[in-house]
Amino acid sequence: MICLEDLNEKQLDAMREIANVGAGHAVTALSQMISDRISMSVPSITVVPVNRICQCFGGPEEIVAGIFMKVFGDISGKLLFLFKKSDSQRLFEMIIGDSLENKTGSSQNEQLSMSVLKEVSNIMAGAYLNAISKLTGLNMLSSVPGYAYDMLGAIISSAIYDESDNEDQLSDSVLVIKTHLKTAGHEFDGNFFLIPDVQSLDRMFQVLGVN
Amino acid sequence: MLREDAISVDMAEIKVAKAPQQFVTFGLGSCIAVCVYDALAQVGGVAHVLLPTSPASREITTPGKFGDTAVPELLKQIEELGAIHSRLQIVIVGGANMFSFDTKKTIFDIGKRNIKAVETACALAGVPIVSRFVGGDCGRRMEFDLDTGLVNVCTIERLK
Repeated sequence: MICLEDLNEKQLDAMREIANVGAGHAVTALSQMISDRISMSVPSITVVPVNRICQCFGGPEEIVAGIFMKVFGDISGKLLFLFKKSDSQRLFEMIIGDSLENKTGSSQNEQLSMSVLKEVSNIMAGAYLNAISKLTGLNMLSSVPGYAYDMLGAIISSAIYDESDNEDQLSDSVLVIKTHLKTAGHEFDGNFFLIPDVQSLDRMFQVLGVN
Repeated sequence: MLREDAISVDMAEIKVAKAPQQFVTFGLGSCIAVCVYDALAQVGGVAHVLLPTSPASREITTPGKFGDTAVPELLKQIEELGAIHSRLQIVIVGGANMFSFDTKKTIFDIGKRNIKAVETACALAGVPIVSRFVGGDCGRRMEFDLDTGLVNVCTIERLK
């Protein structure tokens, strides 16, 4: 059985390529949605042990918006998108074309902001999974997105250790994909976590021929 | 007030100490902080539980990760430090269901299962749970002062 911790360069490269194609698709979709050009950096991919994730993102009490999806099919696992508070506001402005402060009704704002983040994550997840599907011929489906706006530590641990896991197969590391997006007026970081079930990695590398 | 020398109990860890030590656990979501205290000996400990039950098929190297193994291990360690079993009291914090889905059905409620597993383990060990800050949908910070035996719980101010 393969663990994220001991991926070799070739396998990481394969993951990077998939992430690149996936993010490319995702950004194209996003760009069409807001009818504006978006430029994207080459995604960086790192394998981070669970207990170090919080340090990498500003501490366990950093307030973030997290969007969580489960992945079913030939490859199973979980996807988590994280947006820092300031980035989530920027993303909102980029898509709605208006600042959050200009909208009236605070609970309405919260709803709208949540909806925007969920939708963006949905599109990105779809594009990303599609890219893996096309490259590998394996099928994948994502669940409806779940949303939380809270402490980073609480969001990450809850996403990684969730109910349906076979505790035997729990990975203690996650794959972190980071991209930097830029439009004419805005810039923000997208953090994307892929938490594959252990047996799924085996399968994916087998198909890609890099096991 | 939390001092700088407070011991941080991270995921899957078990820590025990004597007064005037303080413990803190940041960013509890579906995880549970199990705090145990002997008020007379002023000895206390915390376990940061991630999952309800340990896999039967594997040797457990981190007992603090699972509810059913964390509680006995925590009690063992605190008794080695001088606590008396019959005086022990437990407070549990965490077990939230962090993600809100559009569907009413909560399919991902590991928090609830964690609470149940810890409660079962405490009952099995014969130690009463005297207070609970569990469930809901918010992240929590737990602070535990061995001088006073007080457990303090903080949540974030919701964005409105």
